[in-house]
Amino acid sequence: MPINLFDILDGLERALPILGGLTGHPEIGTLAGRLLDIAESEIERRRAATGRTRSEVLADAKAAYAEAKTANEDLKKLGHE
Amino acid sequence: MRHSRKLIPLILIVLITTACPSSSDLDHMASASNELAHDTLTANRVVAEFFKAGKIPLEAKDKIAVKLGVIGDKGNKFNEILIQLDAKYPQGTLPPSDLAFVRQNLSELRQLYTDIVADLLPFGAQKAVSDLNKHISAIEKVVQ
Repeated sequence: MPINLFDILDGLERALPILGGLTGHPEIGTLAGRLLDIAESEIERRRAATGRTRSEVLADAKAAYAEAKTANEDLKKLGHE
Repeated sequence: MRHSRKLIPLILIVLITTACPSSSDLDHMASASNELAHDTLTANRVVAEFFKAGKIPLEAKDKIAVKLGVIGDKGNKFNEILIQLDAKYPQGTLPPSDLAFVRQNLSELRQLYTDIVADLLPFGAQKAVSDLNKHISAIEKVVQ
C-alpha cells in the first residue's frame, strides 16, 4: 500500500497540538502546525513542477524571489510594530 | 545513393541527440536556482514562525532577516543572469567565459549561505535552510 504523505502530515497536524498541550508547551503544537502547513505547500509545489521548459523554471524562480522579498519585509517588521 | 539513404537515419539520430540535449548545464542551473528561490521563501516563513512561537529572540531574528534579505537579493540577481544566459544560449551549453561569471556570482551566494546556517544552528531551525546547501551544491557541480 503506497504511503500518502498528505495523510501523514494531516495526522501529525492533529496530533501535535494535543502533544503540545500534554507537555505544557502549547506553542510547540502551534509552531509544528504552521511548519506542517509550509511543508504541505512545498510538497504541492514540487508535485505541480514537472515537465516545464527552462524558461518557465526560471520565471517560476523569479516569482518565488519576489514572494521571498515580501516575506522578508514581513519578517523584518515582526516584533517592531 | 544507397549509402546516403542508410546514412539519413544515423544523421538524424546524431542531430537529435547533440543539437537538442535533454539536460544541459543551464537546465541544471535553472532547476537549482528555482529550488534556491523557493528555499529562501521557505526559510523566511519558517524563521517568522519560530519567532512568533518565541523560539528565536528578537535580536537574532533581526540579524537572520537581514541576511535572508541579502540572500534573496543576490539569489534574484543570480537568477536574472541565468535568464539572460537562457536567451543568449538557447541550446543550454555555456562557454568558459560565462561559466566563470556564473561561478563568481555563486561564490558570493555560497558565503552568504554559510553565514546564515551558522546563525540558525543554535535555534534548531537548520532544517529551514538545509535544502539550500543541496541546491547550491547542485549548481557548483555544474560550474566546476
